[in-house]
Amino acid sequence: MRKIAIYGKGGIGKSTTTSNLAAAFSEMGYKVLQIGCDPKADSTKNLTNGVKIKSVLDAIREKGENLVCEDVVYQGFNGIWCVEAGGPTPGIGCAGRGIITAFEKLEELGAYDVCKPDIVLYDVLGDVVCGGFAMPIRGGYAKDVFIVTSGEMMSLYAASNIASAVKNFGKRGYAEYSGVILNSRNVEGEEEQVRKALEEIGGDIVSIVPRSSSVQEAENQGKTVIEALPQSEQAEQYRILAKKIIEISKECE
Amino acid sequence: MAESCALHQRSFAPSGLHYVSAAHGGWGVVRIAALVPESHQLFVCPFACGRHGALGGAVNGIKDRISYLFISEADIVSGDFEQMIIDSVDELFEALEKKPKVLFIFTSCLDDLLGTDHEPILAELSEKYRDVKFRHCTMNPIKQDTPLPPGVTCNINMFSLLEKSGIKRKMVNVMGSNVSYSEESDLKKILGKYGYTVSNISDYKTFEDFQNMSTAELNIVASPIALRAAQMLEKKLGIPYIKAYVNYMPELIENFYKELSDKLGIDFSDDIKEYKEQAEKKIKEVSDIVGDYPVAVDYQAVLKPYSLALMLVRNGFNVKMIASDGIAEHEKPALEALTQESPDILLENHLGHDAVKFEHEGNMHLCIGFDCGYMTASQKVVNIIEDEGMFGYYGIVRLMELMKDAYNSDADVNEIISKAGLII
Repeated sequence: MRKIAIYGKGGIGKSTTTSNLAAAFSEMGYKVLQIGCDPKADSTKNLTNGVKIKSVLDAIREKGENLVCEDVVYQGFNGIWCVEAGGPTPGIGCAGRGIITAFEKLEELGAYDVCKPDIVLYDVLGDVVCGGFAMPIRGGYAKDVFIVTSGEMMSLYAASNIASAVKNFGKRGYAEYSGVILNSRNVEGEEEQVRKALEEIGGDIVSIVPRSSSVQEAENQGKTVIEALPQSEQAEQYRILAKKIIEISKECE
Repeated sequence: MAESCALHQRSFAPSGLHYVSAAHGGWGVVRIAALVPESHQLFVCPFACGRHGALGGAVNGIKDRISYLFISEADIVSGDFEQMIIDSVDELFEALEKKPKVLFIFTSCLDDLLGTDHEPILAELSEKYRDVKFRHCTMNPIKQDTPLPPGVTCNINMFSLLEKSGIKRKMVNVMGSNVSYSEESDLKKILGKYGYTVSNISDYKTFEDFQNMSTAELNIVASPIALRAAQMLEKKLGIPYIKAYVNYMPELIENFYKELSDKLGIDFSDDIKEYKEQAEKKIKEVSDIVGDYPVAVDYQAVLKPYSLALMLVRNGFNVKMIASDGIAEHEKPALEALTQESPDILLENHLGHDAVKFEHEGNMHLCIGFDCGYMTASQKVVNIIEDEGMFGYYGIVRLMELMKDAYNSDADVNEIISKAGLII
């Protein structure tokens, strides 16, 4: 099994990248489980025809201890298993604790045994701001962390923070930082900007995903590019990224 | 379940507002964990939680085995308290006369909300102090309604200290009981006849001796609190287990001995006859004495209040009230049968918000359990909590004797409560 966490600044394209990766992995014959770890609970929407699935926290609120695995684990495009951790009512409660509760509930429900995935993708909100958002990289969860970034300053700043947090946790046996995915914004000299930043951050560019209108076109249909426009150049770029990640990421129990 | 109602009108919908009587409580995780010989506890909590624990520790005679690391808001928001735990262990071991064999690091609910990853902390401490075993336990009642409430995780932590042994003894462990059973119990006498000893964690005074429990052939799980721990031991040490939750129905006890026969390969059917007859005779004797006097059964006194009430009803007792705040899965058949056979028994939720009205105060009952005694102000009260020391036919005989004694004398409920050590 491979367990991969995707981090990055808010709005940088983590969910788009993650769900296209999931779709590309599924095309390669892998059984994939994608777990959205953002309180917005929209990570997997493009794998389920644009329909938001019920989050674990919403299901807990509704069904309490009567919850069963089928209430929170859905199958989307090409048999990809989709889960959304969810979050509290905006403005109250604790989103980080929500992630922990959702992860504990998934373990308790035996979700991993039901899905039997070859690859688990954790799509995590923004930054490692507290213990809750570090949950996906703790022992037993993701082994590799990839950071989605563009050449924009704020995105690189976030990438630096995330990489630093992941490295700090290194001695604890948590996931390792395995490189960045450059989700291009067509900023001038973008690749150079990122490479320069990586001199300080460490790691390398795993793959460059060019900016393309086909992403928006697919999302307008509630789909990934791989599903909506499988013959497109952009779909091929995601397939290349998927192959690179298979090469880099580590097999684990 | 907010209001009192007849059994046939029951509803276990959760109530938002609760009432907590002075008699509410039982064996908490601090007392339970202290059963591990030569162990010490470090409580990581705000000051007031620590004070609560200290008072409880004093009441239960274990205060010298608990230390405290008080944490502040600044420690929490900065994340500094993780390092503080490690540093405080250095200080603790300097302060203690003798280093413990086991250190339980207890955290309160606030840590649960933070979601601290304790594994790396324990790993660092274990590396530093190789002669001490470290376990992280939680005193987090907010998990009470989940599959892993504090008592369950505490038992898992305690029994995870047992290490695999190449030796097998003719021994059976009882898990989920905080006290050892009487030498007069049928379980000990019958197994003793075939060369088996019955072991309980409370029997051991040293950590080394406690390891004997890993040599047992079988674990008997007397309460659900220890079921997960028994499952863990089956996996880790290869010790099989049987569920035998404490009950007072002769036919269920007979079923237990059948299962025990299958597990140990010994036929106990002739051995149990004498004890079964004694138990049935005792039930009849006490039923004749108590007659029509109203009986109340309390969920804090016994694990299976519905099952006990059913047994009492079937043997002529006039059960009028059951105090319970819900229904456990293992009690559902008893509740269904009781609803058919005695639908008008009053079901009273002492945790319900309107319990504060004390509507049943002055309605005298023979109360099995002192929470019922407190709520009804009855004077005939059986002083029993969590089936302590009860098991098998011996448990029936003992309960009947306690009921007879309670029926024939007046109890001081306030004194019973103050001596029960309910705080932790």
